[in-house]
Amino acid sequence: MFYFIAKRTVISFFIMLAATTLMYFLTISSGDPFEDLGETSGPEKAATIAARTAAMNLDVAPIPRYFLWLQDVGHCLVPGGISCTLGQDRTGAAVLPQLENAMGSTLRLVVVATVLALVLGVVVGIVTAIRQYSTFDYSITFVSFLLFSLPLFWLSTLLKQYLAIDLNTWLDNPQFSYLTIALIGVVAGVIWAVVVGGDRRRRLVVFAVAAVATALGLYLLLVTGWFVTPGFGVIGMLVSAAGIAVLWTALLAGFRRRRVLNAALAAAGVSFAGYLVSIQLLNDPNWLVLVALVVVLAIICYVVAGLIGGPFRAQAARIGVVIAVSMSLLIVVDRLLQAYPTLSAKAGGRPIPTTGSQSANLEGTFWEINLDYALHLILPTIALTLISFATYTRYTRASQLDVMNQDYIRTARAKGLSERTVLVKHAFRNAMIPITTLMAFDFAGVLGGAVITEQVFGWNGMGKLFVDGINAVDPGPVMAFFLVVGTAAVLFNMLADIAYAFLDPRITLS
Amino acid sequence: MRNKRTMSLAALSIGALMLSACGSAGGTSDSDSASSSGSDENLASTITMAISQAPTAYNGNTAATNAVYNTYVDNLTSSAFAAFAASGNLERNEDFGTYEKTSDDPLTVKYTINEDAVWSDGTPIDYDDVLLSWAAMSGTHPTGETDEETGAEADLFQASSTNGFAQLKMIEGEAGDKEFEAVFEDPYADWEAMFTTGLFMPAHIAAEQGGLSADGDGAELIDAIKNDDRDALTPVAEFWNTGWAYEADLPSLPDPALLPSSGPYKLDNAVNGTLTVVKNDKYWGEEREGQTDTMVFKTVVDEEAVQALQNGDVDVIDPSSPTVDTKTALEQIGETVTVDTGQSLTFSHVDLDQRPGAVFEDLKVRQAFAACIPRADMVDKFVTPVDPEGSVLNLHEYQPAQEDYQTVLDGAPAAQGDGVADLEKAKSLLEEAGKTEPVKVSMMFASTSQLRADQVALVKDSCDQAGFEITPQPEAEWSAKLSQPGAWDAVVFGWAGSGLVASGQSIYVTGGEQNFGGYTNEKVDSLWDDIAMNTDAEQVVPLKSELEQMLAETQYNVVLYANPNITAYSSKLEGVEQNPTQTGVTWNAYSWTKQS
Repeated sequence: MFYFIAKRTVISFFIMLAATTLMYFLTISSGDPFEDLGETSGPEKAATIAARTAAMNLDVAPIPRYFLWLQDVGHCLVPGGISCTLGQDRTGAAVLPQLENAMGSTLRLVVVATVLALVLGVVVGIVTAIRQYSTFDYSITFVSFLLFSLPLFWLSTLLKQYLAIDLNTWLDNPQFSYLTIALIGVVAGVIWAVVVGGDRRRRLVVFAVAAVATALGLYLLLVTGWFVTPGFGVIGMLVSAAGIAVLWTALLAGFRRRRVLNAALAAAGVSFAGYLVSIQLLNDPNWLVLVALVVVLAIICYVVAGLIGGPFRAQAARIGVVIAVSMSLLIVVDRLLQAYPTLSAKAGGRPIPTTGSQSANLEGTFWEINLDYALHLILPTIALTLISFATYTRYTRASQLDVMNQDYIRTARAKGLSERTVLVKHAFRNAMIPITTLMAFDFAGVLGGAVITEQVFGWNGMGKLFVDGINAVDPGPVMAFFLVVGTAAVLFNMLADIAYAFLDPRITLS
Repeated sequence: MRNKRTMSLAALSIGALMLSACGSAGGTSDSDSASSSGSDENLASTITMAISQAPTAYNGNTAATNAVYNTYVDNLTSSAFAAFAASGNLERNEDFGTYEKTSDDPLTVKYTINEDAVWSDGTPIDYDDVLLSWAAMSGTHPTGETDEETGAEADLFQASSTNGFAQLKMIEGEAGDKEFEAVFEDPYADWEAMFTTGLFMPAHIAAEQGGLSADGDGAELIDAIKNDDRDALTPVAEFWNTGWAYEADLPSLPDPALLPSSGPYKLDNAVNGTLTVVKNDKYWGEEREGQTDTMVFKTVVDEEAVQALQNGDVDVIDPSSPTVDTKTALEQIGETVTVDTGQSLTFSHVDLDQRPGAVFEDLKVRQAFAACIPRADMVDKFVTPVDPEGSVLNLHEYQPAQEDYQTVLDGAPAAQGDGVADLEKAKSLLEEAGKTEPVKVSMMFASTSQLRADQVALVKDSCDQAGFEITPQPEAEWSAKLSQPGAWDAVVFGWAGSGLVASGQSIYVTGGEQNFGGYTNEKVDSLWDDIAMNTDAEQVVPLKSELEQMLAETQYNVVLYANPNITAYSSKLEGVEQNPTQTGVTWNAYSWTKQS
């Protein structure tokens, strides 16, 4: 293991060195660093050229210039002593602070989207694999190929038009005609009927129930002014708590063990009590208080569910924690929704922005400020999620199908295990092994930022650093970007190999 | 049975739909009354302006920071004796102070700073600020280090330009003086444009940060400059060069205490490329007093600005090089947005290589080329769809957006013309020049620009019929090749006009740095000498008319058109007015108001 890591590190170092050489010379020969000055005639031109020449070492021949850059990188590797700047950009500013800002911004933008795409993609992928060649499967295949082929900038423009500009206008005076409500109900009914599947009769029932429920729910939301002052309310939270308990039990334990279900319901009850208590505590908290409360709630639920769980103590306690965390998330969402009316007023009645990463000069509670962050994240996150969702669905579906046809799945069924156990315990775990590799690559890609998304939505992240650098033929920022992305790719590749060996005992590292 | 049920279900649902189509659910009943009760007094406290790049520094006078995005902010946070107005001419800022020319030989101007003028931290604006500006901009503090290639000596202060200030003697005065006299060693035509918005930096901050005391109205700094004390000035100069710079993309602002303002607004904070300025409570003036509490500059790339405006994320946009598509998109938004179009001072032109032995050495060939270029066609394709009032450009030193354009044009008959291609005239001119074979012309342009490629295609289309043979020559490094003789026969690119009187000299005089075609004409040279030394604004127009007449007669080059400009803003805004100069649309932003 140690030998493997050492060997890979040494090889990776030389790979990076060769790659930076190539990248550096490609960048500096990609254009004219003074192109933007071509059409200026003022007296400042000469001074600007001189300043830029000095900052970019343009008076040095290309090969020694590359070594000057390497020397700047070397300063960062030597601990202490000489300052680490990763060189200068063309205005003479140090690159390192720019890199730090860009990385912070990028992580905020891309991590949520990546996690969301991963979870949604894997879940949908598994369902399509289980129900292979159903209408649902075909629909998802169609949708994911559609998403694959969507140009991001075009999708972003559409999102801005419909989910920001038009939605903001609608939110200003939220109303639908009865016809629209009915149509939305019908569409929802069709979607549910396709998702749930079954024979014709069952589909009809699902369609009818879903259509009526959606239309009725929408009607109630509209007449009660929910879109003006959203939130779950106490009753909504109570219903959600029960629902969450049942859902997680169904997924993680099944209903055969009554005590586990009881434990889950008890955990939901405790969480609901926690919600009632938190109403006063959470008016304007900070992150520390919030995390502490979640931890406290999780511990209480762990203990309570464990006690009630009796013989199935361990399983019940685990489910208790999952329920506590889910309920905490729900409470946070509820709080954010409650902050909506005041935030919307502060945003001039148009709460969903098309550009930027936060509102300027926003003063307000913890919830208002975070809702503002969230609203700025909505559009870019949807755009990014939709596109990588497609990849994950396809990979997961293929992988799960592969596993489902293995002999040991047949054996598991033959043993009389429940379908849930077969799918979750035996099939899913093994299907995840190839996805690990995909995930490793994706997280390495996360650091590279989302070039187009950042540009379109006005985020100053890694992608923008790179594109601006290339446009200005400025090797400083481009190489800083490349160092981070290249290192991440090499590193995550290695981690994926190591993780593989842990997950699959047939593979050994040598 | 099933049939029946389906039928009744269908009938029921259709009936329900028919019934329901009439009404609607939801809506806010009180929203209308709230918004309609607004009166004139109901003004918003914030106006947001889109800029396509984040500002880079508070001090826009250095070579590295001299960019239009800094000027956008300077217009609000800085003031001086004059500023460029919407007419393209300089306008006095009496809030800041007054000035008058007291002598022509030597050129002497007496300046008086308003008694009440203070920086936003309360320190008076006085002699030390003026003297620091002179020291920084005059290039009189060489470091002794010379550049190996050019032999030029670097200065302690990395000023963007020393024009004007290099001709200026050291400004005499005492600490705390509000009056001073600028005495020029050589006359300088653009003397009025020197002490303009953005020039004065707070000397007390530079002194403190450079390790000097700011007490006694900056006496220590004044002594250091007067005695040319290099050791004391070096840290001050370093701070002047880089101390006011922001981090790239403006993730945050330096300590606001280092950034006191002399304008109607002062810098407050910045996050992620969004800069906020708030009303300067110490601003003394009345004419330029800020009307809205807060102004926000938000970085939005040009392609996304229209949707940002539509969604109300920003209130004003000013996209650079707007196209027909930009205008169409803006007009489709409807009446919530007002679109103003006009022309900028940036113009396209075709330069011709006229060195001995080059294609365009012969005046007749140049005139033939000028005759066959379809300028009016280009205006129809690239200008009027954006700005309906756009026209062919006939002058070199004035653009249609400037007040004096028509006067100068009237005084230069040879320059007048409608720009329609005249193929017959071109053919006969070529015949007169004795060209029997098609004249081969390699026409260079920036390979990155679609617009330039389109322009060259139009020229080729027309001139190939008149006896030329145009070869398009796209170049990535076109700006470096401009000064290489023989690298091109004709080249199409743009100049950004400055509104200054003498700045164009090096484009037109014999051997001028930017006289890329090798044009030479003694009359033009001597006219430029007169213009550059002339200090009376009244005489500029006749001199320039004569110059334009000469340039047209000798066909210096072919000017095409001035680029169109678009400013779009929320219809709730009042006071927004385009400014064709590089001062930008915020030139009068202090007077903007917005209905809430």
